[in-house]
Amino acid sequence: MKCDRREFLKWSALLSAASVVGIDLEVPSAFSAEAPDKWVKSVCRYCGAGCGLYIGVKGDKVVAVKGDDKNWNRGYLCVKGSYLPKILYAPDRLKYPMVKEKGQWKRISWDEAMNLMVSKFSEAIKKYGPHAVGFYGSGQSYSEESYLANKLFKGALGTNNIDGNPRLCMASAAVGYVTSFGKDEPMGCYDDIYHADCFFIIGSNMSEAHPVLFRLVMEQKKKRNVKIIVADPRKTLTARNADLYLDFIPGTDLFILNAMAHVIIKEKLYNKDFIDKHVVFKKATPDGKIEKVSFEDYVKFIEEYTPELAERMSGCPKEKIIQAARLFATSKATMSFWCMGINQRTRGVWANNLIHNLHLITGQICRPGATPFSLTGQPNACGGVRDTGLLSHLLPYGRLVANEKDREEMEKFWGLPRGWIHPKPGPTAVELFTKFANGEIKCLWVVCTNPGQSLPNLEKYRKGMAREDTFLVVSEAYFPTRTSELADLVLPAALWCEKDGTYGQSERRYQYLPQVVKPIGEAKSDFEVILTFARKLLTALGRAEEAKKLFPYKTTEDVWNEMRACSRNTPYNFWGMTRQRLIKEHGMLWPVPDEKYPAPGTLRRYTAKYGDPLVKKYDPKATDISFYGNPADGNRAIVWLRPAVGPAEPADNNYPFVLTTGRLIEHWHTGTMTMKVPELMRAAPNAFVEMHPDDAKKLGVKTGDKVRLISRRGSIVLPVKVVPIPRPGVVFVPWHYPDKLINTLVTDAFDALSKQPEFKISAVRIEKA
Amino acid sequence: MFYLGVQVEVETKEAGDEVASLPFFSLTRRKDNIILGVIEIKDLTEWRSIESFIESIPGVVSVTILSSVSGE
Repeated sequence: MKCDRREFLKWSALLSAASVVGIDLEVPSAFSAEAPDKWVKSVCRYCGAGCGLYIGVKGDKVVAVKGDDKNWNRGYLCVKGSYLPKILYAPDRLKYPMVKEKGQWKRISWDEAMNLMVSKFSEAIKKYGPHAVGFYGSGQSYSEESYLANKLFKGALGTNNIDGNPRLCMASAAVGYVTSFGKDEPMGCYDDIYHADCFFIIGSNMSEAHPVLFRLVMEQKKKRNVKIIVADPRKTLTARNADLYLDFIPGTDLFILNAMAHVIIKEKLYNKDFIDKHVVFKKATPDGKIEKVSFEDYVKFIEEYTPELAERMSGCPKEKIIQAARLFATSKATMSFWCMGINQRTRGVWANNLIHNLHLITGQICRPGATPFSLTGQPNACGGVRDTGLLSHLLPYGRLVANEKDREEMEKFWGLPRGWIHPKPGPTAVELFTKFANGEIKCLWVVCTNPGQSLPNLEKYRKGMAREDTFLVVSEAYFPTRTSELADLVLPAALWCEKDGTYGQSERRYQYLPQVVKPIGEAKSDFEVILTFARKLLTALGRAEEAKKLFPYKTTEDVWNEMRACSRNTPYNFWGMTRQRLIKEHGMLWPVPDEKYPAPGTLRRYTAKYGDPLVKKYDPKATDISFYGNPADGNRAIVWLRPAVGPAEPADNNYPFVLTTGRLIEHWHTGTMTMKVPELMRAAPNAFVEMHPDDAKKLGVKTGDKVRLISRRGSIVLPVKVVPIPRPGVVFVPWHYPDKLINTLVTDAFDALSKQPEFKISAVRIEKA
Repeated sequence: MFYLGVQVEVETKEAGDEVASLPFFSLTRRKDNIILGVIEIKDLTEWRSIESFIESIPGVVSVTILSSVSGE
């Protein structure tokens, strides 16, 4: 059989697909000579869903990917994931270190780069102390890399000036879980999708942001006629697939969530037995104290949140709120999903608590299909940042900087003197860049993220990053980016399968990604760079012996083994996830307390009946459910009395539109990867502002016309796309595009508890451009 | 161009026959209620219209990309 290039490519696609579904094919002989040499098991580089895939390698090049049929995604990939090989070979990959001298970039060697960086950081520490330096990490770095950075800054250097970009996307979810259940991370798993018969999706456009997960939900809809409720100010593709769609004025969803609880209480749809056994009620007083209250107090509190009030405040018809509450409470099993629409808010933690409340008062939790599940935006925000404690208030595996016992544990574990770890939580993302902008932090290292595009109120922080009297180092796979253009030193980073390490995704699933090909040019893994820097910096500070003791590692597996040990006596316990097991298995969910604990680990936490091995350890008297992350309240979860409070910057007469930002299916985050893929760029080539036809009519504009969006912080000109997706009064702009920095307009007001900024709601006015 | 290995799940034989005979769906193979084949596209916009078209065929349960190979 003749096999020209086109035929060859077709056969490649077919054979990959056939292997996923188990169909045997006769391979044309001409094809086999050009097929990938090998397929290597790995994980997708994009969102937090963590689709398993195989990477096809020919020679020293990645040539194809195919879904892993034995992983949770059952071989499915989204279109974005399907183009992954192309991100490796983009022409703007950064291939060697460069330093900026008098405004010009100059190639230097790794030795020169490391020496310069060590000299700048050590000088700053010697002159001003350890709080003069900082680190800004990423939910895309591998866990071993983030653990190392955390150990260097919080441990060896004694500064908590270390935070990560999950502060911008997941902090409210993390604090939501901690405040409601005592410990972070979802108790449920993707398998719950197969058991739920009602899905409550709020503040998430799953169909575009987590397409493979949404495909599983839609599959259940077609097969089992499950009910889907979607609450969102935009009628997204997700909302268009809903059985019940609740649209509302951005920022008023706390009224809706409390009103749903009101209906559940009023119609006696709550589960009193579950509440009596597993729940306590609390409220925060105006002076910041926490008070325990009774169920009756909660009933009284929720009385005022009638569906009528919610309708008045949110614009969502009360009948829909009542129907949503009834479906939520009476279904056999309800699973909630939420993402940035809930988290990127000044009341993000409260909104998270109110979702948990609904599950707790109805008992829709800790059994198959019944669970509150926070979706994650980045592939390793959970495993790498929340779990390893890279955020400025955290220490590894649920420990807190502010907790003396937790600090002591980590000091002992890391071999540091008692009292070494600083007791005050460090600055969070916005605070960290404020300190860098005002010169309080002299040297900052940004790894695997693009804050020059992703921070809110951007111009303020970009100016800070561009200061000439501070030192900004950026480790990045591409050059330039909107951050590296502001740097003093750029370090070329190995990307995805050019290095090895571990990802931890949104269902507590940890997966190993092997190195498949060599890094491009002189690029190095961030693991190698952080390790080298740690040793050289401590040596420059006269602590060479400590450097050897604290950073003795040769491989990522050495670090992984230390991480396993660090998790061992915590509710995160993944001691049983050896590197060899992760190589063999298609992901494992912690806790996995020992090496014999069967794969895939623990699907559902806080329930002995459904397999959580730690219930008996932390709560020996429990027969089934135990929220053992919260021993202070008798291993019960907390229903919070959270009043409905609106956004920091609602629309007003001067700025009458609400600007909300988000993702498109074609692109991911700041576009550094997806915009290197021609097919994705052709599909979504430029930024735009999405506007309801009623608003377009009032402004006298049509699709393609240019308008100027003006907020209190800046302005931007964009073409209009007139579609009945946002509700009137709301405009949407994708935040991916580096040539249209929409975050310049976005408020940097943040949640008082999680410190996560309110990206989703900023007031703007619109003029014809 | 881009070549997608696509799985179409159907609930009727008629739907399967119709999908398997689509002119842009090549190298098709069948196993039970699954039809596997390759679709050649130039970009996502084209894929979306093809996906919608297949999904609109009565008896089609789902359309899923399983693999992809780039022609560039």
